[in-house]
Amino acid sequence: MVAFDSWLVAREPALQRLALLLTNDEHAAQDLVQITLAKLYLAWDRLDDRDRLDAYARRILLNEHRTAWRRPWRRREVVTDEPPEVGQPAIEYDGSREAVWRFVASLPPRQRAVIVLRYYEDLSEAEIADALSISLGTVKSQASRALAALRTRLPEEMS
Amino acid sequence: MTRPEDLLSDALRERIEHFETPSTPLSDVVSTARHLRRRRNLRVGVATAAAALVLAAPFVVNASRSSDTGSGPVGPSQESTAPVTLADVALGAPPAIAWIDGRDYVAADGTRTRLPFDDVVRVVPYRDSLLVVRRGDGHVIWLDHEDEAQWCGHGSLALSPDGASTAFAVSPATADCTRGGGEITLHLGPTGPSSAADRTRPMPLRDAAVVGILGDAVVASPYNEGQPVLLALDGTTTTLDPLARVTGVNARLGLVSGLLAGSQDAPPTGAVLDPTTGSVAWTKQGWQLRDFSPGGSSVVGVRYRAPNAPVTWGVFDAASGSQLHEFTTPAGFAFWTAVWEDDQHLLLDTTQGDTQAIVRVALDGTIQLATEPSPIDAASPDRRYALAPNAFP
Repeated sequence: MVAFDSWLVAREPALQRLALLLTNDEHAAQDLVQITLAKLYLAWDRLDDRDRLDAYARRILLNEHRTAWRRPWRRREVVTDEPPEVGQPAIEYDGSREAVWRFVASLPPRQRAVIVLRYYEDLSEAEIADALSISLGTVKSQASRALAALRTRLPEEMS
Repeated sequence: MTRPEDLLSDALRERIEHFETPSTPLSDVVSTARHLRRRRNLRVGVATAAAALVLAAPFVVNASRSSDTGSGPVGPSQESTAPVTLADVALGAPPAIAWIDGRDYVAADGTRTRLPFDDVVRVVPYRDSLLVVRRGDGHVIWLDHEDEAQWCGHGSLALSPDGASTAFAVSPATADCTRGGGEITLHLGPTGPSSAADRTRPMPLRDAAVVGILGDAVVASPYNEGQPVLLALDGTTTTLDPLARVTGVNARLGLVSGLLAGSQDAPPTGAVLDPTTGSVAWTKQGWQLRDFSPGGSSVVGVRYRAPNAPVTWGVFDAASGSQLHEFTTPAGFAFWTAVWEDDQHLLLDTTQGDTQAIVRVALDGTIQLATEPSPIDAASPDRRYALAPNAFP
């Protein structure tokens, strides 16, 4: 408890970045982080394993994100710069990282979470399974499908 | 050839590269937490007293205190009978150690220095000026020398017991310090005027507090993964294996306090260690030890029983571990920093609901205010008061 403010100063930016990648919406990300911090604050006295504070906070954030997406009235469209045209792949790779990001943003929430945790947070598949409370097989299949989908949108020499 | 995996990694990092991460005001966190607790309690049908529904419940203080005198300390909380609010606690002398009051740095002698920033969270004297840490961008800045000394800060700042040296860990300044940055360097520099360069060495921990100075070495403790270390300025690093983290440094006795490794699961075990030999001097199961008193003779520990329950404080003999004092502070009393003011008093950065104050606690549990209560501005990420990290002259 004594160190909550220190932890907040040091670690909130990392939570904000993760939340932004998960939500693709700055306001939603801030809401997600605020509820995460509040829950962490409430649990602070009981957290004796201070070595795992980051992991604990991340788990709260991921749970909150998942809960939010399961509420129909809170679902919102993925924000992209341009709406996909009918009959064409949603995202065409044009050489920019922005296009790859639009592809990530178009993924279903859980699949996007797997990709973000794997390729931004650099978590292992086992750690992702633990963080998302899903099986290792689900992590593998979600990541594999996402990569396969991305490859179909890449120029052949890159895929 | 760029692999799809690399494309993903690069794209995700680029997405947040220019993201100006907002800072959630602490008051917002507390307010949201209070709202959550209220909802949770309603859901489970807990219809206890309203005080139990808020994070910062009214104090319980000695009923014998004359409410109309407005002076004198409040008696030990364990003798208390009547609930009062933070604003009802008598106002005593201002802190006798350095503290921050809004944009003012207040030295121990009461001298005020106007800070050029409104988001300063830590201050220590450095080279006849001040070294400050800004909350917003994480920069560490040597005041009046911003052009030549501005870095990204890592962890807290520390001061030697004699007030002559300051230790801090920094990396080269970038626009956004929260992005990680380059190699971290540990500095040990003078607080007074000096033409000599800082003594430096690489800092092996990226996310760690600089806890204190012990002779020719600095003690650092990780916030998360890793183990605390003793960093000698000659480049030697000693891992303090018996401890999971270090919370206090006793330069007089050459001891450090902290949490015994492997005891992170309840109940935590506080431990005092001789870092030069690696031997544990004594342990206290159930206690989270904090810092040593300025004179080094005792160390304070805290025991949390349940959220918002009264917090128990224990004061132990630094050398032997025998318990010297025990007292409780009232339920709902939310502490942010606990610092020794002198060998007989602690100063607690405290919030109660939307009010903040620095509270002085004597070792018999008597409490009084060291600052007047101040409302917490929900629109601001900063609170009015902060205690400087060390009790320096």
